[in-house]
Amino acid sequence: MIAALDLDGTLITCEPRQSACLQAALVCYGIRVSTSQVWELKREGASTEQALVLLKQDPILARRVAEHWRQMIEEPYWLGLDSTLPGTISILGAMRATQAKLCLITARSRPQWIPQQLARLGLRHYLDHITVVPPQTATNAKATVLRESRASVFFGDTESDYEASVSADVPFFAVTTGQRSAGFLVAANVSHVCETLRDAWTSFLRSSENPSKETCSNSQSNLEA
Amino acid sequence: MNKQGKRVVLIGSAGTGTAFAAATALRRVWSQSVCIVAIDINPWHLFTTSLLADEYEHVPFSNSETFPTVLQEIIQRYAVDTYMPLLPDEMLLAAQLRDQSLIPTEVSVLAPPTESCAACADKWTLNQLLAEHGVPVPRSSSASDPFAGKDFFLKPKNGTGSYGARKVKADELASIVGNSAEEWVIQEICTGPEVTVDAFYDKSSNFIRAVCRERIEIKSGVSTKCRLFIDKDLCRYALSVATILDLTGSFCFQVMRNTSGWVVIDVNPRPGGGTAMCALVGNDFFAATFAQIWGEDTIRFFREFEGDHFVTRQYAEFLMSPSS
Repeated sequence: MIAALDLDGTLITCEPRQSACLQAALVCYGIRVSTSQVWELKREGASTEQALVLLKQDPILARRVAEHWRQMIEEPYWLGLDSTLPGTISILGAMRATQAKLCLITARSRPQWIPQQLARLGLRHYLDHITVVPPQTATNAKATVLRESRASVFFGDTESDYEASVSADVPFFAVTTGQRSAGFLVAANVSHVCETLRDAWTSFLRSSENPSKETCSNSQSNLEA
Repeated sequence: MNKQGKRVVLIGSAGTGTAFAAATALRRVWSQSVCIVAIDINPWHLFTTSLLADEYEHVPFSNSETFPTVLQEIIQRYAVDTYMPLLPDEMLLAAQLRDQSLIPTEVSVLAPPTESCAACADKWTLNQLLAEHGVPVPRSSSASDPFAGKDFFLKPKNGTGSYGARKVKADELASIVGNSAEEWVIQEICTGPEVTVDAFYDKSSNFIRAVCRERIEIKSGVSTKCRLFIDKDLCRYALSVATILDLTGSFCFQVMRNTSGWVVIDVNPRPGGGTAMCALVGNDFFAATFAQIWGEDTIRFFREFEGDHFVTRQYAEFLMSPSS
């Protein structure tokens, strides 16, 4: 079995890097905005620029700040703010214990830093295959990889990951540890929305054994969290 | 906690690489749930830590007369609950203010006892103290009373960052130190490699963790190429140093070799700028220090590793004002 995994927000944190990098961009422009509020808006689907505008920032300035943020966000220093999500290492171990091959599919503008980051985070040796796709065409590119790799399942944290799965006809299990909230993912028609990767993996195994079995999105504890 | 329910961390000497590494660890682990107040002698646009800070203050030198009052006012104004001083003068002052209750008792000051701060800031006192407790140190004396030898390694008694330290010949010593011989320490010439040991000690559980960094290349006192490894002997040294100086949390010390083996040539009662290198092999000493003071799990910040790991450093550029 091949299990495909997204990286940012699924295996590793994404909020600390995005918020700190935005804070740095805002400081440059002498602007004070609650990065926590920006993050909440982004969890509901807003881009960085949209979130700033929603928080009453001048649209031109918001565009400049967002552009500055975009230029910085994948620089090595900022990538150093990522860390593994709680339980990531143990669940990857559990996945491998079932003989699953783990295939990482991540969208990054600067793929050259991925090996370095995976080594730092202690993730590299859990992964059998790593594919980095350009963010601009992430959905289609991830779909292609899912199709070609004959993945049995894809775990991700965004509607883009979900769309890639739909396109490739691969079961998708979403986690709410990353870029999008549970409410946003459910509203985007994602069927299986789980709080953590462990829940998502358990849910996938259950659904594989018994396709009619309830999965994360039907569980009150997950939806109401 | 401030009005937003966030912990408030005051980072002193925020222009240093150590401060930047501390702020980075705070953002990596606690993200926006902590408020960072950064203070420095430079305005905000001239120290990079300000990019990670929620608040920044331009302050006088920590050895100036006005600094204690400014510091107390900042602690009160921002409802600081954790204070991390970094330079030796600032650490000593912070420990003294804590002893005198001039920093509120509810503020956790990340500095060891005053005597330990003083010892670490004075290379002669440190050398004597460690030697008295059986920690191997290089043969040393005050430059005013040199031991017999052809060459010495000369250091300012209160120096930091290798500033002013150099190898000298015995017959030129007097002319170099002039009338201020008491301000200098001489040591026997040790051999390389120079290794910095980054350590973390939790007294309550007697947990010690030490990662060794061989300094392969140093530029202006800053390690730019290092070999990271684990050494059981140096881990034992770390425990001794922590016990003797009553250190808890993260600290670092430098060792070199003489004919008898490793000798301790310097101790910093805090992590150093290069300590951040250890995070690349899963050992985040900065995060562990904050976790310890806040009663959180510290073990999660230390990952076992084997063999040698090499880390290089390059400068990173940060824009401190808007591009046109």
